[in-house]
Amino acid sequence: MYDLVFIGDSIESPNMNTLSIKPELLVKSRGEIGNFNISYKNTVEDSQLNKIKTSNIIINLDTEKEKLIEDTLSFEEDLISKKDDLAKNEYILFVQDYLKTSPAIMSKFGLEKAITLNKELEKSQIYYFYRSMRFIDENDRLFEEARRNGIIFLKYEPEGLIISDDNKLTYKREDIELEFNNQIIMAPGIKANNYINRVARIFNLEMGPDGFLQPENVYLTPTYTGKRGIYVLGGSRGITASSNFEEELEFTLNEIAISLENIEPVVSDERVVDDQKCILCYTCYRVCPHGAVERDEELNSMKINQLACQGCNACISNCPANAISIVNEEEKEIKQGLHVLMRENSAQTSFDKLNQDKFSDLNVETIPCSSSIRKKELYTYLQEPENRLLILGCYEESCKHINGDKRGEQIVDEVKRTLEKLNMNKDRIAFKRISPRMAEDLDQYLSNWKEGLS
Amino acid sequence: MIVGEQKDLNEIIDMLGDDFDSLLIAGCGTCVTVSMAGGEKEVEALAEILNMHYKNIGRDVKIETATVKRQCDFEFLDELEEQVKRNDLTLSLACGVGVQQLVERYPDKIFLPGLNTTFYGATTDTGEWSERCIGCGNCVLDQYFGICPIARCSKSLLNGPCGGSQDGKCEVDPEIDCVWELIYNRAKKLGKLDELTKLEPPKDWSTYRDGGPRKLINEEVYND
Amino acid sequence: MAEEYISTLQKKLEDGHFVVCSEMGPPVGADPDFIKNKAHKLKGYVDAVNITDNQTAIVRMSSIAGAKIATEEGLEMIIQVTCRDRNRIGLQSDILGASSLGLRNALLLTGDHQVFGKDKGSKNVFDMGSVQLIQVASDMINKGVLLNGSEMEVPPKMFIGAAANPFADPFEMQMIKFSKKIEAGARFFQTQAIYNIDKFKYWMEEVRKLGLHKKAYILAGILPTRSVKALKMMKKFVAGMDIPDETIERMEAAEDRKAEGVKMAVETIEEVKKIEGVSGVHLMPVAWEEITPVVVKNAGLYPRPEVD
Repeated sequence: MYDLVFIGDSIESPNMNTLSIKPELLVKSRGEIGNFNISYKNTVEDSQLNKIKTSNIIINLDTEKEKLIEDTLSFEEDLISKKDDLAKNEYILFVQDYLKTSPAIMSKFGLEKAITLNKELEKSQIYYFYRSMRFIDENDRLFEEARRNGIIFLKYEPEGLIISDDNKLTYKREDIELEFNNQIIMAPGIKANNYINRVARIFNLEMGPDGFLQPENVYLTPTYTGKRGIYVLGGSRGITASSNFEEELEFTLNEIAISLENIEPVVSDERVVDDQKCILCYTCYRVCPHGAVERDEELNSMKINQLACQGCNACISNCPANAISIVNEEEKEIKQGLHVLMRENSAQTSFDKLNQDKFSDLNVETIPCSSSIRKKELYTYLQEPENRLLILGCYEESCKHINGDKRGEQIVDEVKRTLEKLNMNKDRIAFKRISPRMAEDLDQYLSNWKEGLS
Repeated sequence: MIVGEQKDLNEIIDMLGDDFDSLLIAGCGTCVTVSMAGGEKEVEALAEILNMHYKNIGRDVKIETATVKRQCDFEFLDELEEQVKRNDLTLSLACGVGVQQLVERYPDKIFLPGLNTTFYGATTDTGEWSERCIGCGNCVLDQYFGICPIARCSKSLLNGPCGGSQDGKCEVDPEIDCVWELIYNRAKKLGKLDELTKLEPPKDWSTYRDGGPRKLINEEVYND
Repeated sequence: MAEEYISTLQKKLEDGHFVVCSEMGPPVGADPDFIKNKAHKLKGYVDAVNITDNQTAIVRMSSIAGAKIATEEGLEMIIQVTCRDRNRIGLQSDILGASSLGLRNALLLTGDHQVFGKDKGSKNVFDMGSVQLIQVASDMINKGVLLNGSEMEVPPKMFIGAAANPFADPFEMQMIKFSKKIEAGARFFQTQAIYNIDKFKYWMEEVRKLGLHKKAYILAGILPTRSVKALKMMKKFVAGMDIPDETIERMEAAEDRKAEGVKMAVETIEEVKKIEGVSGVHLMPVAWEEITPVVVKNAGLYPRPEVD
């Protein structure tokens, strides 16, 4: 049993038993935090599988760098070895942010390389073209040093720098126009590792923007994937992620160390799949944001991994066969009147700050997530003609269960459409996003809602 | 699998009519569960919706639900006997096959279709299904590199795209991919473009519905 | 097969004339005078006229009936046959019927999907596609057999044509389809309307590389238009049309749009005339059929040659 397996490049992790596996050799992963079962090959051509167990996984894949323009050099290259050739140039042109803003880490490389090259080339004048200079790490010191050493920095606006097909560089700013036909050294384009899709598929992870591995969500920073025990680091996360690599690594290793001592389930009640009803449609597997659903190979049904489950109930809500349930769930008695379902810790927190007497006539319930609302139940709430129902979910990208807010809203919209079809008032059900710090807004909104004002 | 879609709610209500006091909504646990149209979840939700509606218009109606694994095998239909018999009407949320089998099994009762059965398709995304096969009865996928022009070309053309193919999309609907572009791309990738130069003669449609409704017998097993 | 010419159109092409074809749409109704009036306007200005077959899936008088009426007014007609509305039995039957009425030219097409017309709920047929229809017709004419193998005592006589689209994608696939139509027996082609002359020239180059211009006659499609709106609509909605922005801008800038439309059509005719492998033009003025004689005259193509 390993403590930690790296998918991609290995990193020194003191006191931990680690292994690294190349993404193209990874075949399968099952299980949950504390007990992942991973299969991998020794070479791509091999058919034999190695099987290991690990408590945690870090995905650490480097980004791909691509040359944006032919016949230019890249910030990443060993420019010193080319210095004799470069010395023949009267001007050397460093260019970052061309076509797309370069990440901050690139400007650090650019400055370092420019300074080093400048020292070697006495006769060539270095120009450095940029749209924005980010001052991470010691960039401000490097920037100053570069200027002191005679490198000329020219800022440009998006249309102010053009590199033609034959690599002529034209710079325009206000009434300055310069043209160069010299060696260009560019910040490379950055894109996600070629194996990101493979890794995402094997671990059933949500993709983030630009083909990287971490969706935009406050609960996922810095290195979470939504699946306990699986982390994304550095170039796997996004274009700019490499900037804070060291801090994020430290944070992650700390978390892992703690989990190695002890892991508890997050939810108190188990979610279980009825293997007689389950038809293996994989809906629960696809909607689960926490990697808690897996195929139970012995029973020919899906099953829920209890340590991975975070109780959002998206699986229950979406299962077309009603095959998933919460152990010991009590039957709800739905009273007449106004009902508010509020998301625990979010809308709930705001609500708790309000004058409770003012809203004592409301039937209030806590839900783990907007995605836990069940279509049939919503209609049960609406059976009594006087009943109205309000669901208070979270803001986009602030949903602990990734897309739970959207799922909840989708279900509410469907109910509204049904009410309309039946010539009933669609405003008998409503969905609103309330964060933990919106007590005042909530006060106002609930007051209006009580009166039947939308 | 067979993909179906629930009928419009008002169409169902009109179909049920005014003449019943008790209703069974019968679901099917296979294809239509996967296509999220007629499984237990949808059956129970629909029952709740109809309850809400009849209450709203002041009608006293009793609605029951039952979902069996499949409605296309008689043994499963047997499981519904009590419920079918004690209800005035049954609304089946199975595909058209299931509805008809119910009628055969219980000829004295009325069965109404709650779904529009549509096509044989694959799940192309969570909550999305796309037509892939029309059951022509003579599979020619080997000739088209595994992509079916009979099912997926709006005109079932066998010799290449029509003049209406634009930007890889079908003239009928810009959401529809022109399958001939897909076939061409695949042929090119496999280095087998020359196979597309063969003249394909008109198809024998007699293996399809055009030859009459079909029946299949497995000689190994069938005993008259 | 016989060495005599099947149709006057064929003879003119084989004699090397630069032919002019045009197009007419039958009425939504049963009035033969509708056809006769159109025929009178075109007589003498064109070598042959297409008559459409429920174009865009709109119900109109049948192509064969319309063609017969127009033939009696002295026009050489090209019937159009699409695969949308008839199965192989109906299609072969129509070819026999058309031939028996003396009609001698046919353009065989797949046909627009019924979603374009007013009968969107109709069942479409598409028992065959254009390539298969060409093959079937070709065998009827050249081998005297029907698709099912039955022999005919008196086979039909028909000069077979098809449509070609130099502007559709993917280019290679369209070229394969074009070759297949020739292999199946198409002897002349009418192309999609040309607005992008450079793309057309490129297509003709590829056609010549494969020697296909020697196997079939190619008539360049010309769509005279007088409306910026029409150009924009076609650019946006008509599949397989390539209309450069400069063309639209030119029309927008024109003071007399009608004159400009004629001018543009004539210019295109003059350009395509110079291209090796182009044997004529096919004029299809949408909702502007009366302009055909003007364009023909201005392009110096009047009068048309007479052959027996």
